[in-house]
Parts: sequence; structure tokens; C-alpha cells
Amino acid sequence: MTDESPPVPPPDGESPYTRDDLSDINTLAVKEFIRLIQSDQSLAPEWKEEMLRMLDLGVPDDISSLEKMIEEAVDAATQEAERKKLPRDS
Amino acid sequence: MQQLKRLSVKNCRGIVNGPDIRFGTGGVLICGDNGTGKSSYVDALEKVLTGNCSSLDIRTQGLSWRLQGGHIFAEAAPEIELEISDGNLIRTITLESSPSSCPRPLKQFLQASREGGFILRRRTLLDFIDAKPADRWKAVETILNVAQFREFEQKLIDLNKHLREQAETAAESVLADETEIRELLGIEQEIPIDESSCIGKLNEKIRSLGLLEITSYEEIEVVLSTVKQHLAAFSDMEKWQRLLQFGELLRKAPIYQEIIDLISSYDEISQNIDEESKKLVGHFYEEVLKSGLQWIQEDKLESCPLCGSSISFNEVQSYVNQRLEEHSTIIQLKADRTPIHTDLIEKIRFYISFLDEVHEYLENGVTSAYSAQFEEFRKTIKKIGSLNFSVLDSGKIQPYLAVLKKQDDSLIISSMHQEIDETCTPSPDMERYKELFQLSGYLQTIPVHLDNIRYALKVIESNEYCQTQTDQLCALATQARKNAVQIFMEAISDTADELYQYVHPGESIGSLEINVRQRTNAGLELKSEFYGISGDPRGHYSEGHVDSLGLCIFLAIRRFQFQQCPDVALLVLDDVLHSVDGNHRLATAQMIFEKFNDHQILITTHDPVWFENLKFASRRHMNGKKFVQYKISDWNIKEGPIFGDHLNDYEWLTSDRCRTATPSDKAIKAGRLLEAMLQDLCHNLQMKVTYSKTGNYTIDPLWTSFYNTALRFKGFNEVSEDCLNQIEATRQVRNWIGAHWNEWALGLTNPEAQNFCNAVIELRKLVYCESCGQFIKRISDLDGVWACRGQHLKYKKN
Repeated sequence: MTDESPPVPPPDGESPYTRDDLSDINTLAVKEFIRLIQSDQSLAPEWKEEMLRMLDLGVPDDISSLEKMIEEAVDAATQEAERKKLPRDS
Repeated sequence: MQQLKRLSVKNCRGIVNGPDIRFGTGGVLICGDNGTGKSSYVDALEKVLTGNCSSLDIRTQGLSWRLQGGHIFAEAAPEIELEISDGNLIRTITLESSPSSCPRPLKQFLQASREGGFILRRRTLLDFIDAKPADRWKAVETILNVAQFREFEQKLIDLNKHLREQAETAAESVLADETEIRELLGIEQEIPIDESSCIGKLNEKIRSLGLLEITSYEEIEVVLSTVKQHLAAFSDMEKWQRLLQFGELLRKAPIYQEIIDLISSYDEISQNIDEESKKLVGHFYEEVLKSGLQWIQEDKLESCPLCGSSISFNEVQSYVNQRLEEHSTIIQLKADRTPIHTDLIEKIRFYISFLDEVHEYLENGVTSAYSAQFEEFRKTIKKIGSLNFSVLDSGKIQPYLAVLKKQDDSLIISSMHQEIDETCTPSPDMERYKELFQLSGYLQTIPVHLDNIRYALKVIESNEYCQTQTDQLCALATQARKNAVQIFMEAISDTADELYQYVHPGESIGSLEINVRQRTNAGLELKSEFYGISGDPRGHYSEGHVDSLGLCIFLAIRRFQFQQCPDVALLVLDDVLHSVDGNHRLATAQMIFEKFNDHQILITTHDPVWFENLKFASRRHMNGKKFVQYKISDWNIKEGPIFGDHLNDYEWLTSDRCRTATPSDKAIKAGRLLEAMLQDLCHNLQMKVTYSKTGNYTIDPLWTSFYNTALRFKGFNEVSEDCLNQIEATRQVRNWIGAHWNEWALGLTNPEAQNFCNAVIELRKLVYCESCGQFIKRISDLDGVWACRGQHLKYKKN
């Protein structure tokens, strides 16, 4: 995200896209995004899977399923803290 | 295929009320000086077609269609109507029209026009070519319309930002809980707050109370239970504390005797005043005397306002002083009574509030054997407190005073005080109670803070994990967008280069490369060759070459988008060429109409020469499609654009309009055409012309030079002799009329003017090639030849 972030090079050699793929730059960006996600090694499998599912129908309108994933991750982590709580006088 | 038919504009930008623009099947060409409303038509067209005006709706610098879309003096909102034909069917759209409510083909056309860039403005061209990579990206982004993906990318960035904010809030909450624990337990800043450090400090307090220390967080419950058992032994502590507080209140009771003394003093003075008053003959009104005297003095009264008799201030003053002197004792007594009265009222109020507090205790659980007596006493005091002493005669105060004196408070308050002291003795172990109570508080509060910290740390931990995922997704999304633009640019760069070579054949420039910058979020770099050296074109190219490079890139994008989406066959170029020379301008015009003859084209220009080039090229390359031409001759703020004659002089002289025109009009236009031709010919044929210091060459020296040379140029003279001689024969007419309006021309007859016109038209046909769009010139490789570029016209000297 910064100037220093290493660029991910576009596909080498022969372009994997047909001329039709280039008809809509937004759709082309989605296809590139899918390609980059698939070749990425640092994303967790569940995030990868969810993002690819979201991109299945083109540019996603909303990202609420990612928000839900985050919510669930936080809930799972905080449940452990909840379990350690001492019973309180009401 | 949807085609634009008519654009009607009202109260919009520089346009007040039209005139309308009618589109030919090929399109429209508009020529006008800067600031005559050309771009206003383009703005209106873009707004009604796409719902957006890219020159205004840039969301910065206070510019917007809402603010600047209307005409500066119009109170009414802008009105735009666009007629669009589909075969024989014509539909009209306005600013209020929504694509979704239009029939399918029109809906597709409007939706596609919102997606693909078909308008190039001069400003966009400059933003693209002569700009930093980031600005260049912005200019291209509006044309490419990558907004949908950008929006999605922004949502990812916002989600990432939200995670960071959540983590920051959790970190702040950790700090707040840690600070609270440090303050409660007295843990130093350098010691970390955790279960171990908290247990250590709690054990210090547990130990001091002789209780069993704890070894783990879970044992807090056990020790809390023990502390609560110990506190149970002090179950009466609250009651004792309350009794002690009550005893303290009674100890600080106001002195009742002070009230009795004040009332006695008040009563005594009041009796003395009564005694003195009895000595008076009649009534003595001190205030009336003093006020009356002041009134007479201030209003300078000379007669009595009651009886009208004359009065003297000095006399009245003397009388008043005498009366006051006579009654000085009573005056003094009244003066002495005032502070006693004030003091008495204050003391009674204070005493009553004390009695109310005692009453509160007795009402809320404190018992006393003297409660009934106390309530009787309080009732009496409250009744006296409600009296208005200042209006009571001394005789009426006495009975109350007697009651008060009888109610000796020592019998009630002092007895109650003694009773409480006896109840509270002996005192419990207050210090131990306090420490146990404090420890109980810590044992309940510290676990809450520790739980909060543990919870917040878990939130931070899980947020950090999610952030690494969203960070990576944001980076990949940005990279995907950049890659998509790069792939697109690679796809169009060959086309852009091909178009560029059309305009600049054999110039050893081109081989365009457009690269997305990888180190920044959004930036485009341009590279092209200049005699084998690759670099930023601005480094080597002339301004004109850079201008046409930008235009070719835009046209390549348009060509590509049209191939992908043929619904919008529209191309709008708003005054895009500025620094391009004559030959390149013509080549550019030819390139546009040859390569985009499947589009409907709207071109505006301030340049009359390019306008002529465009007219020429549109006739030649647009497969017979019709173009409508407009020349904006004038503009003013009240009327907007004023259309003039769009025909050039030659077109006018060969049109039907010339046949019915006045002799002077014919001669003036023919003279102007002859002057323009001679300027081109003398330049192209490298003829010697008498030097003009001002640089303005009038028709006479140009004609003399051309005529003499042409006569000697055998090949040319053979075909032009008649018209040359005709022009020479009407030399006087030509000189009279000059190239501009001249009153001499008014005396011309129609045959004289027509002969002159015919000769000029004939000459023009011999020297101007319609195929090449240029005048004959001296061919350097072929000595003694005058010819056009394509050698369609060719004359030999011998």
C-alpha cells in the first residue's frame, strides 16, 4: 500500500486475456485480482476462499461477508477471555 | 444505430437560449474564437447524455454542475434537449430523463455512453500529456471509467481502516484499565500490569489484615468471601457511623440563647420607639419630610402640588430640619433597630435549617427518647420564623418571646446529644473495618479491570490477524487495477502508434509505450522513440508532436472501446489542437475522418484554418455522410453565441448564394480569396515580394510578383492565361475593393464583379488541389516544377 511495497508483476509473456476480456476494464481488474489472489502465498485459505467467492460474479457490490468473517474471528478470540472471567456478584 | 439529431440548450454555461445545433449523419464542425460558447455545447451534450459534466463535476475546487452549470444571469435552471434518432424514430431526452425509463436501444446507448469516454477536451489532453504521472492517471481514469472497481477497492481500504480504529480503541481501553489498577494498588509505571503484579499487591493488603494470601487469580473469590465474613462482624458499623454523624450535628447546634437575646433587644427598642411616639403631637413621618424636601429641590417647585400655595425651598428645608431635630431620639431608635432585625431573621432561618436536619435523622432510623419534645419545639420555632417582625407591635412580640424563653433547648438538644454519646460508646475497631472494606472493593474491582484488559488484548490480537489479511487484499486489489490498466494500455498502444504514424509519416518518432507506475498507487508513464532514443516524449518532441501524441492515445482508447461496445459511435473533440502546424493539422483531420468514419463526430476549434482542413477531410473521408458546420461569429453575456456564415470565401463564391448577392459582396469576397491565395502561392512558390516592414502584405505587391512569374512559367501560363489576364484587366477594380469592405466597391456593376469572381474561382481551381487539400508548391527535387503533393496538379516551367 505504500510506495515501497513490492509490485506484483503483470502476467509474463503471452497475455492470458482475450480481446473480449478487455471490453470492460472493471471486469478485467476483477480477473487480475482473482489471478493475484490465487497465486498469493500469504493470504489465509479461508480469506482466499471467501474473496474468490465474492469475485465470482464480478465487482462485488458489498463486502459484508468479510465484515462478518472479522466479527467471527474477534468473537472466537474474545470468547476465551470471557471464559476466564470470574463470576461476579450481581 | 442511435444518431444525434439536434441539441437544444437554454440557460446553460455560456448559452442563453440556443441557437440549436443540428447534427449531420457524419456530425458537426463548430468554429469560433475562444470564449464564444463552443465548450458550452460540449458540456451540455455530455451532461444530457451521461448525467455528468467532466469539466465541472470534478468534486474539488468548488466546481460542480449545480453551482456553475447554469448561465451566470439566468434565474431558471439549465434546460437541455437532445433529439436522438434510431432509423426513422426520433426520441428526445432531457436532463430529467433516466436511461432506465427509455426504450431498450436508447437505454443501451445511454448506459454505454456513461461508461465509455467519447469526449476529449483540451484540458484533459493537457492533463494527460503535460502532467505528472499521477495527474495523467486521473485524466485517463475518467476516460477508462475504472470507477466501479475503484469503489470496491475503497471499501476494502475502509474496512482495513475500520480494523485499525478498532485496535486503537481497544489499546486505549487497555491503557485506561491499567492506569486504574496502578492508582488503586499503587503499582509503579515500570512494572507491567498482569495477574502476577496485581496478586502481589493484593497479598500485601491481605497479609496486613492477617488473612491467607492468594497464589492465583482464581483464589480471589475465596479471599473475597473471607473478607466479607470478617466485615459481617461489623454489621452495625453503618448504624454507628450514622449515630456518630448525628452526635456531631447536635454538638454543632446553633446557640439558641442568641435568638432569645436578639428578640429581647428588638422588643426593647420597639417599646422605646412606641414610648417616643406617644410624646408626638400628631404624626411624625420622617420619610415624608425627607422625600418632600428632595422633590422640591430637584424639581425646583415654587408652589405646593397639593394646595397650590407658593413655597420656598429654604423655608421648607429649615422646617424639615427643625422637625427632624425635634424627633432625633425616635429617629435614632429606629436606626438602631434595623441591624438587630436583619440579624434576628438570619439567625432564626439558620436555626430552623438545623432543626430540619435533626428531624431528618429522627425520621430515618435514629431513635431518641426526646423525639416528641423535639418536634413540638421545632413546630414553635418554625411558627416564629414565619412572623414578619417588622410589622409587629411590641405588644404582639411579647407572647412569642415568652414562649421561646420557656422552650429552653438545653432540655431537648443537649439531652439528645448526651443520649447519642452514650449509645456510641464504646467505639468499634474503625481502622480494621476500613481496611477490610477497602480490600473487599479491590478484590471486586481488580478482576473486572483484568478481564477488560484480557478482552481488549484478544480484540487487538484478532484484529491484527484480520489486518494482515485485509492489508494484503488491498495491496492485491490495487495491483489488479494497475495491471488491468497496463494490459489495456498495451492493447491500445499499437493503435495509438499507428494513428501517430499516419499524422507523422517518416519522422522517425513513435513506438509508444504507456506504463503504469508500480511504486505509486496511481500513475502513468509515457515513453516513445525519437530517432532511436526512447524516453519521455516531452524530452524530445515539439509541443505540437506531444499534442498529437495525446490525441492519438485518446483516439486509440476510443477505437478500442468502440470495438468492444459499438452502441456508442460518438466522438467529441473539444478544441484539442493548438500547437500543430499546417501540414500536420491537415493530416490529423484526415486521420480522424478516415479512421473514425464509422462514428458521428463533433469537433470544435478556434482555428479557422483547421476548420477548413476539417471541412475538406470530412468531405473526402466520411463516405458521403453529411456534416453540419457552424461558425460562431460573436458572443455576448446577454445573448450567448451568435452564429455567422460558416462557408469560406471560395465555398461562398461557388454557391447559389453568390449568384443572388450584391456586386460589392461578390467583389469583396473574391478579393479576399485572391489575397489569401496569393499569400499561400508566393510562399509555396518562393516568389520575391517587396519587403514589408510590418509583415502585412497587401494584394498589390503579391499580385505583381505572382503575375509576372506566372506569365514566364510556360506550363502554368498555358492553362491560366485567360484568368490571369482577366484579373490583371480588372486590376483597378481589384485595387479599389481591396480585400475588405470598401465604399468604392459600392459603385461596381454586376458584370464587372462577376467577371472578377469567375477569374478568381478559375485561378483557385488551377492552384489548389482538392485531393491533397493544399496549394501547388515548388518541388525541390524536380527543378522547374510547380505541383501539389500528390502531383494531381503539375506545371512545368518549360
